[in-house]
Amino acid sequence: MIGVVATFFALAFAGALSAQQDHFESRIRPVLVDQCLSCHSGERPQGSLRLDNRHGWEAGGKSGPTIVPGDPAKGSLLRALRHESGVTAMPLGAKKLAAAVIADFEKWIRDGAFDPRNSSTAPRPAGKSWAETYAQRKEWWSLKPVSRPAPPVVRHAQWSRNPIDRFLVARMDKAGLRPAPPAGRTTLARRVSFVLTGLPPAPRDVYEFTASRDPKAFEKLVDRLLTSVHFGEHWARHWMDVVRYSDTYGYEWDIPAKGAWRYRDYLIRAFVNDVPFDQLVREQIAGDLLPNPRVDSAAGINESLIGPMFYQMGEKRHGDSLQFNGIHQEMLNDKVDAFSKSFQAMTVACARCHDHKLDAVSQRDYYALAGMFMSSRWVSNTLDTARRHEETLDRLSALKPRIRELAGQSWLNSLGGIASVKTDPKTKPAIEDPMHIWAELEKSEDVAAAWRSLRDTYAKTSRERHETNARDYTPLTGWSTDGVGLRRGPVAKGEFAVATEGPSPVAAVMPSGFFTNALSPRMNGALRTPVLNHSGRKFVSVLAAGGDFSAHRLVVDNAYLTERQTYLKTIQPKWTKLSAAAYEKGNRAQTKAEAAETTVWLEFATKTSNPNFPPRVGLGGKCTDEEARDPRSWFGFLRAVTHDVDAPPADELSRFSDLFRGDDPATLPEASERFRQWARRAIEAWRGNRATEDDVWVINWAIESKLVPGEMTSELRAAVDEYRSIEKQLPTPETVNGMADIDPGRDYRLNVRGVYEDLGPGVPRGYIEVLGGARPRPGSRSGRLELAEAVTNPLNPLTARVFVNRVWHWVFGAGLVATVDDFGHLGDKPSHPELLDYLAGEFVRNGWSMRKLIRSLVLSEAFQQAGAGSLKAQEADPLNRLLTWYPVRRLEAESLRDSILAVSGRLDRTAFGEPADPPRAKEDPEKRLYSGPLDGNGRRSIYTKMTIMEPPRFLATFNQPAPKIPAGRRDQTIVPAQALALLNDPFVTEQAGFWARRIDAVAPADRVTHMFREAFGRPPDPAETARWTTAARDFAEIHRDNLDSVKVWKEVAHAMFNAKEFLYVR
Amino acid sequence: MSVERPPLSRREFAMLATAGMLARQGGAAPHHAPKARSVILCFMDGGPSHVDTFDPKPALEKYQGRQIGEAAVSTKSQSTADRVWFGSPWKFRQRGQSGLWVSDLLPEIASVADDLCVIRSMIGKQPLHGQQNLLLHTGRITGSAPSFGSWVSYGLGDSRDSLPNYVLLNNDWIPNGGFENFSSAFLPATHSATMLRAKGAVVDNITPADQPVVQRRKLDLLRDQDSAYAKTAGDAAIDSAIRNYESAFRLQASVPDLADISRESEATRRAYGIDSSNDYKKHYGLQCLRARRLVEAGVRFVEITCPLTHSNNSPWDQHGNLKKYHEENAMITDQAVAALIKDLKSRGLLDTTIVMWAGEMGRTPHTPKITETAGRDHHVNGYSIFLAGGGFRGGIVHGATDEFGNAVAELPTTIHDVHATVLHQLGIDHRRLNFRFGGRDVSLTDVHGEVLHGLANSGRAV
Repeated sequence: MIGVVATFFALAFAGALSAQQDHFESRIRPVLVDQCLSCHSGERPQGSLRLDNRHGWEAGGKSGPTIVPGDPAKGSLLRALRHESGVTAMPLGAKKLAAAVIADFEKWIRDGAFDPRNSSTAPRPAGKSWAETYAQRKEWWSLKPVSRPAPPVVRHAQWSRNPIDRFLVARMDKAGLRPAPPAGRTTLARRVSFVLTGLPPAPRDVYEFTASRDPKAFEKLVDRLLTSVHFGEHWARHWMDVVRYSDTYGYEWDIPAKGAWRYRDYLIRAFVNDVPFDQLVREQIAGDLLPNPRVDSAAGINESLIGPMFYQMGEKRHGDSLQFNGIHQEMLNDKVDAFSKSFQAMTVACARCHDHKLDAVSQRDYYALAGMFMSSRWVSNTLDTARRHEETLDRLSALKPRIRELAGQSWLNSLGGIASVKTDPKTKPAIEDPMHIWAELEKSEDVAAAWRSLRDTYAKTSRERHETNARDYTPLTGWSTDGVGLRRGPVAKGEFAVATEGPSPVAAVMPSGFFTNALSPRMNGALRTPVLNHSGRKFVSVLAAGGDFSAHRLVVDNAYLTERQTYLKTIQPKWTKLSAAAYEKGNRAQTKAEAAETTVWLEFATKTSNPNFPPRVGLGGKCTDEEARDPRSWFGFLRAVTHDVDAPPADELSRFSDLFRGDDPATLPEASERFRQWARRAIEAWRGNRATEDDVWVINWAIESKLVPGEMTSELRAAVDEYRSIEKQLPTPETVNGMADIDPGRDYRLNVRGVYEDLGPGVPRGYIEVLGGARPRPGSRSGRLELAEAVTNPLNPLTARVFVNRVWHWVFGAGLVATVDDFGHLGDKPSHPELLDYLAGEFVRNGWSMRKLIRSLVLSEAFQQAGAGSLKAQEADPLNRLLTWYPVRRLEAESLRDSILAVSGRLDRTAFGEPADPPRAKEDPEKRLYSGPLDGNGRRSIYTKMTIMEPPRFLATFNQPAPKIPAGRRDQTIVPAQALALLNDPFVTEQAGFWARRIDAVAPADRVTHMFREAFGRPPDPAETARWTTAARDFAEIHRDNLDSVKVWKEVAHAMFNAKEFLYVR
Repeated sequence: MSVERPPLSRREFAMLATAGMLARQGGAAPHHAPKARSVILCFMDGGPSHVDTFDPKPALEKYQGRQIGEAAVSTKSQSTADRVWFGSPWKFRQRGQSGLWVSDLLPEIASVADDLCVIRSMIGKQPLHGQQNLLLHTGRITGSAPSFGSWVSYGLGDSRDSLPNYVLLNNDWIPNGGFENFSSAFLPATHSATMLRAKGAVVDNITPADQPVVQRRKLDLLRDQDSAYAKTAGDAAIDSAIRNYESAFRLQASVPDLADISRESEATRRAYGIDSSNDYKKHYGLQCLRARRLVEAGVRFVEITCPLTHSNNSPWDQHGNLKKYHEENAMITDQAVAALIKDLKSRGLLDTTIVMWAGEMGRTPHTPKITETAGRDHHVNGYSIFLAGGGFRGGIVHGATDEFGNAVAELPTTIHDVHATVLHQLGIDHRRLNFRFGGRDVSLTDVHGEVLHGLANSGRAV
């Protein structure tokens, strides 16, 4: 009896203890860790109070007893939390804790302040060090090496040929289940066509396949589909879900994501050409850094360089961290999240504020990765190979000496006088302008005296300016370049741009410098400085020319879309002063330490090389969509200096010394002649290919002032016309947003608790520890190449597993691991772990061939079985994890729309190219949200523009994922909006009309059969023929129209688009 | 006319759950006795100025033109030390029995002052439209999470096939952040907002493309064809898809009927300003009246957005021309919002309907230079919103900003707190309204938010 009583009490006690323990662990410990321990722990705690173990609060602090167990009214802790008077309100400097949390503390104290913490070494909620936790967590299944299981031996003859089937059927055997019988041939033809190409099969293909006696007929059908461009389109779209594809950047302005569609086309080509998956991954992570990039020599494109557009997907906002801190931390989180989910199915982004709650990922891992992504600059890269333009540019180059000779001659023959130059009477010409001299002479009584005085003034000013410039300014070096227009290096003095249209032969003559337009205004370029603000100088000034929306851009803290960009609008190079320091007016204040960590650099870019062009509407001035599309844009850069004085270097006026040389003119005509001679000498020097920078200035002045004739002699015109016709043959350079490793790598500072104002130490750049923790090699910058190697290393336990699982999901509707983007503790475990490893191993051994992988899956018996499970199977395995039947699925949004187009006959099978706007209820030009044609001119849905602000409505209704976060698995909802769209959307009814008109040629009696074959890939049975024929008759009666009229069959067609057999694939 | 079918098998049950149909039958709520059953959010998109509406600051007039200095600069405002204080162009007055301060900018709303529970200490995260809009709507500056309305619909949604639970009454302008503001994200798609337009087709595809007899014939044809297919396919999703067509069919009738205000009295229509010669005002009034009709019909969450009248980043975003365009926005919205509150009250609906008036931010009490066309910039460190009805105390003020309206001085209140409080009134515990996504129980307020009990029970009277 006593024994029983004792047991009863013991149980009761144990129960009470666990409730207290639970309360402490779930309500108290997390708050202590989050709110208190940063100050109240360690050897020298604030207020001499330690809260990191029981003995700490038992001892109390400076303010006396902290907690009196059982008596909430005593002790300072609760009073501090309640912000009562007489104690310092806690947590210090933060908002008062929620009332519920304070109540938790009160309850905790009242119940005896249970606290199991005996030592102070355990600040972690789990009570373990990270090392211990990590050691345990890294034993997770997905982090273990991929095993090489042998396919089990099974007794089913049909299911023992393909190793995949053997794994599957062995599991079915264990569960006492049998696979479904093989699917009918028409069903199979339709299924494989949708799975591989996202389009319905052509009726003829179905017919041929079903009629064929060739045992390899299915294999042949599969191989034909696998080489179609439509296969590439459909599978590229799958990957686009994973990489959160979008054509715009969202938030307020939905700024265009430059070159996104080139990345989409690159993916299509990659599937069509079966680019090995490891190569595709390498390119997306570090395509700009590969020693041997993949080049499409026929197209003249560096394919690998397109890959890093992967990072340039995701939402981006304009502005930088000095204007709005916290922005790029969000964007960076997007990179970490997309990278880790896409390639490794890991949720590293969960470790932004703390070590991962469940997986072997530390907060340091997050910032180690972040450092690699933020060490590279966000730029637009030029894809064109040198050979793409070389020959044409050589031909243009060869024509120039003759144009120079003829133009020079023509100018010398008819050089005008300065008196004819028109000036703005309202503005006084500055000393830099020759018209200043002329104006002074014109108003003087004594020309010779005025001339002398001017000569002295100019000589003195010139000397003074030269001295000042030499003293106060330091040349800035270390530029890097990109773009076809800059590939031939800086131009020599006197190089010139042939005008590609208009009456003049020459657009401008160039001093020595980087000019993008030396051979064509359509060639692009970007010129980038090293980091500017650590030179100790306040300003940078640049001497540059440019036009047609070329810009200089000041990039602070590697902002994705800097707002600090200004269009260049000058033919004569001019100095511009910019603030090189991080802090400037209009920004939030920075401490010295912050400023030291901020980076500022400068970039010149033509339209196509500017990652923020066209920018948000209105930034930098008006730019129409037409202007934005015109590829012409140019800049010329001469030099840059850094300085502390608050002005750019002054024009040294050296060009005027030649004007003033010799006797003083006594009259205005004589003076005019001096200007003529001055210009003449410059032109002669230029014609002789020995022009100085001053000569170039004078010639450009003469051109701008119309002192040289605007029109051409016939001989000159012939030469210029030839030049122009060749110039037109130059392909326009192709650019895409990407990354560039220009600066030394920078470790990223840990954001304490994820708070970006609370910076911890820099975390050395590198890969996630549990996946090897690869670090940048010496001399490497960001470390992305090393990262790419670590991800594509065949020993990486995740890369192959994750991808084969994705492919399985796309082929069978659910992955072996159902949570395709998460192989961690919160994800599902694999239904067939051996099969997953077998597939991953085979995938790598087959050279990461995506096509072979997909082929092996669709050729399995599992793929070819019927789309309905036995009742027994449905009861035993309702979610069909054992794949005892092929799952029925609704068509994906794009396939649904494409099927309607294919069946109506409107499908335009053209592949690739710029996206088209979807139809919109209302346009918004400020966001460039334009409305496109109702049926997108029949193009496949993958070519519909994806805008974050307003995704294509029809596609979104059918669960096309929102383009901001990786979505390896789409929702499949059933909502009224879908039925309403299919019943009432004008797109659908219009297509029904197209279809009805197309089948008008078919005899009315055959129409139902004909339409069934087109829509469902099979003929109707007699009951169906009767059902639809009756319906057609009813429609004719309602409309009081003939039974064969288009109007009647449009109704039939429309109904067929709504049939579930049309919308689903089984 | 639904297809006869046996009770759900386990498998079908699972399929329904994955297809999101189960959640439509209602979330876990209510967790406690609700005080209100519906919410109408009058979203004042762009950020109405707090110091020109509900938060009088005589100091701004007194020190107008004086530089604000480094101490007044903050990352939560577009601010620099050399900007100057800018007094309100509108006179403030105490209103009603309560003596609540409302400026002359909003004379009609001022007339219902005794019903307003004004929060003057709203604090946001970043002075940016996109981020603040998404914060207000989804509880996160990055979005990609369900909308406030979606959570309410998920928590309380009724199983009605003829009416959505969350309706967006739009005025031809989509606020920054885009449609994501109104999306159900990872919640089942039935909880996304259904958008009713002021002009043109009320709802996308709601108008039948066919005359009724044709559509009915098609639906009958489809029912026969599809039920045969459902048998061979043997998949519950097909059955759901078939039933879905009947829901859609009913919505075609119920939605336009709710949107139709022709049976409302002339006096009611006039009260809402639908007789106005100003097109914007007329349509805003129309949407407000529709909001009342929707709430009457049992819709749980209604949001009304503002129209954009001129080229600008959002309606209330007056970086310049504060006087001109704040007055225009007030002219469009003031009368109808007040009429809505009065109308709800007269029908006994205000007790159970929360009317929330809020922008995503306030505006700086300072400006670069005092001119005729001066404006105010973005400001999230202390701005005003109001709640009315739904058990909230009228004529009270919660929280305070400093002397200049430049920073929160008392009771800093986050949008999470407001979300938690509104949910509380609806009988929902914000900590318990969860949805498992990405392996985690996710809620509207995440780890934040505290119910402001004082607003409903005891608050500081003015």
